[in-house]
Amino acid sequence: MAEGSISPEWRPNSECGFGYALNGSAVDSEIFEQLVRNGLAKRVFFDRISRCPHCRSPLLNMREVCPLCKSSQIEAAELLHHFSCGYVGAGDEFTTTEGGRLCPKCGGAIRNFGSDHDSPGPLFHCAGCGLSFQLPEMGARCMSCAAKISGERLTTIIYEDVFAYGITPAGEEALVTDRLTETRAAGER
Amino acid sequence: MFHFWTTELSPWVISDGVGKSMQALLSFDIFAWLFVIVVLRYDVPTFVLWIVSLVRPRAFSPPLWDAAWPPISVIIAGRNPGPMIERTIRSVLECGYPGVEIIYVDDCSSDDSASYGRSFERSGAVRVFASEQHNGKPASLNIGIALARGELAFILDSDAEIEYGTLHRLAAYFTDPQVGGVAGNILLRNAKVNLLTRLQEVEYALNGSIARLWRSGIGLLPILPGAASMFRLSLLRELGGYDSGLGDDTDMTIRIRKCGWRTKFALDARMWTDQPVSLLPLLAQRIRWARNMAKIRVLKHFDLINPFKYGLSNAVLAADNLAFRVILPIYATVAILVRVFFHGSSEPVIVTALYVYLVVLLLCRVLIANDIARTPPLGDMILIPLYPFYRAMLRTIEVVAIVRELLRIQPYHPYVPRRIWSAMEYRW
Repeated sequence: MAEGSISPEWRPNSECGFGYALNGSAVDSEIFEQLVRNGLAKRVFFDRISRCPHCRSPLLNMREVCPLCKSSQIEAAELLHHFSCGYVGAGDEFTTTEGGRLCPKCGGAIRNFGSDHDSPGPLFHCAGCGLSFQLPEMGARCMSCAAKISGERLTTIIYEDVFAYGITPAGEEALVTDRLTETRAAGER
Repeated sequence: MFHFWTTELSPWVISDGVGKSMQALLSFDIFAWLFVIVVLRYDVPTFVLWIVSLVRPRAFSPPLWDAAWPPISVIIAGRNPGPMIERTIRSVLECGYPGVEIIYVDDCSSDDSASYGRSFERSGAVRVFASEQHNGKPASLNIGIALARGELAFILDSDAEIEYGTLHRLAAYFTDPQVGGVAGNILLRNAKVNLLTRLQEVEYALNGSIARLWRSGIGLLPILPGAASMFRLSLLRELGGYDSGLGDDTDMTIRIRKCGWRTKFALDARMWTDQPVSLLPLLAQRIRWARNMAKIRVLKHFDLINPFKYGLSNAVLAADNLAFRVILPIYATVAILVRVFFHGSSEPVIVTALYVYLVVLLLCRVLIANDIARTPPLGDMILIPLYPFYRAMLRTIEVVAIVRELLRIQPYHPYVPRRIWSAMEYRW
């Protein structure tokens, strides 16, 4: 970020998940928004946070899930294709011996990837329901209210853009002036 | 003796051709007897089937199923089916079967076929596996088998559509615990395009629907077509899925039969598919089928003919195939050529009479097929005079393909990816 700009800091425990600081003190983003409205600062996109549609918490745990049972207990599986006999199965079905792996269908040895066997493509296996699939779904779990969000409901997640602010010299002056005023007022009391 | 009969019979016949053809039969003319053999093999069973249908109208209906319907995995392997895959998947989703899952295995299509399939994944009933390289149909089906979770597996072509209730009608046959696979009834979706497709429609009705129906009835169904057939998933897995190479459906049918399982044909389980609309693609298709037949039935599974190993019905099936799809066509082609070249066409009257017999018998078969299977439409009867020439053309091409395959002349076919062909121990 260029000089004269304010970037947000991540604050997982705060309500909105991020915050701004100026000279070590927390500052409400509304102050910068006021500067933007007065033409004294410019918004610069910084990032986007996702909020739980139920409790608006920013603590959403996004991960890949099974498209059927939505369990996150999915593992990448190895699928092998033996050219000679056409067998296709999980890698652990091919028994390992000293001479290489043996095909469970024809008993032939598979040795060279690409010349006698290969993998048709990536695959995932769900330990929850046993489904095998190629593309896992995205799913979210709210770490505040424990809601599970997946499938079509992913579109209900609330997305909120987070900005950095590029502040003009006049804006900086206004900012400092305001802060001094606040400090002076506190000292007089 | 023969002279006596022919002269005595002559007053009873209606034309010179009939008389002469009868004379040829009685004088053991090889061509006249070949004709009789063909009639016995192809026409008589059709007439018997018709009588059965009249006596027992429900004889060809699927068995009653009174338990919960078993879960079915529909496995579709496709390479560049394009938007057609949408119609195929939609027809399965809307066929009324509860708890069906669809697995579309895209064989490294160069178009958007996988995306078309993925557009259905949100329904929850469809899964797509997009292969990263071209694996061929057997391996693609095996991927589907590896992913399937049903009790029954329905193998369906990527450009086919099934009728409402088709899965129920196929699944009902599995009430018989000895049934391992059931074939669907393939019909032409594009039958009305031109003369060639209408002739194919007649052919699919006579040599497909009706022939499979009577052969299924006597336990001699020779094929569970790859376009639309249902299997016990456990059986497919037990067999290790499809073997590499050409002729996946023929091969799987024989392997299932070798294990002692029954194969059935479900007349009411209808599926629709497009067939070639021009001559060259049609000939290419038939050459491939003929090569498959020679590779699989003659070269790979010749031992099926051993009745002590695989039972009498399998021996009859193998002998019938050998006689009527290999020896007889090759013999007839060679004999006709020899006769034409060395003797000229010396019996035009007999040939004409045989042709008339053939057309009359074919017309009867079309009527029977229409009565039993509602196909082909009766309007196709007008094409029947052309049908023998259509079949003769295909048979001749097939003979060339069969001889080529049996002699192992250029046995490679591009349907099998090169890297897989190179790795195959036995290149059937």
